[in-house]
Amino acid sequence: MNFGEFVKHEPLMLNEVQSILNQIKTEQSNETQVTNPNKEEILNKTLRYVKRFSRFTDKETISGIKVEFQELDPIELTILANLFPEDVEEAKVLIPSLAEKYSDEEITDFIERLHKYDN
Amino acid sequence: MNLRLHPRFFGPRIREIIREKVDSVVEGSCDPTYGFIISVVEIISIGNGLLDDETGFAKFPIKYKALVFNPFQFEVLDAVVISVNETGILTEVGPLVIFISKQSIPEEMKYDGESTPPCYKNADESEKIMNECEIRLQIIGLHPSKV
Repeated sequence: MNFGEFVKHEPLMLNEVQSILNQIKTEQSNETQVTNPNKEEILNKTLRYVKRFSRFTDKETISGIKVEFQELDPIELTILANLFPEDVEEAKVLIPSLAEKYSDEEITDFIERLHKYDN
Repeated sequence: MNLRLHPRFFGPRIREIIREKVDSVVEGSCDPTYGFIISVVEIISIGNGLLDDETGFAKFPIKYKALVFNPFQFEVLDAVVISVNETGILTEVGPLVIFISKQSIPEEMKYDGESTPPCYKNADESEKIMNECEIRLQIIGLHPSKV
C-alpha cells in the first residue's frame, strides 16, 4: 500500500481533527474578518464528518493509545483507530501492510488491546 | 508556497497582511499533492521577499503548517450516502465526493427506484442503502476537479 506523499506528515485520528476544528471555529467566531466561503464550506463539512465518525471521546484515551502502540507505524495506527476492525481478517483487508509485517496472533493482540479503549 | 504581494501592502502591517493572504489563498483549496487544505494552523516562517523588477510585486517564500485531508488510492473510508440512482451511489467524506458506480456495488444489491426513498437493497431487504446511510468503501481512483 502506497501512502505516497502523506508519509512525511503527521496522521491524525478523527477525534484529534475534531478538537482542532472546534478550536478553529471558536477562534473564528472571535474574529471579525470575513472568511472565504469555500473555506467555510470545507471546514463545516469536515467538522460534521469527524463528529459523526469519531469513536474515542477524550484526549487521554488518544494519548493512551499512542503511547501503548508505539511499535506500530503512526499511519497504520491512525487507520486502525479510525476504522476499528472487529477481527484479524477485517484488519488485514483494511490495512494490507499489517499482514505483511505482523502475524495473525500479533494483529489479534493489537485489536484486543485497542478494543479496551472503546467507551 | 510562494506568495506574490502588491507594493501597496508594503508597510508596518506587512506580516499581518501576508498571514491573511496565505489564509485566503490556501484555505479551502484542493492541491493535487496535499489534498484538501482545510485550515492553516501555523505560519512557520516568512522568507525575505524578492522584488520582481518588471511588475513591482514581491515574492515571499512561506512555510506553513496546515490541516489537510489527503485521500490516497486504495484507502478505506467511512462515507455518508448523499444520493442514490440507477447509475450508482454518490457519497461524501467531509469535503470529498466519492461516486460508486453500479459495477462496483455487490451484485446482490439491486436498485429500487420505486421505493420511497429510492435505495439499493438485497433480495430479502435485510440490507438497504439510501440517503444518510453510512457505508465503508475503498477508493479505486482519484482525480482533482476545480472547487
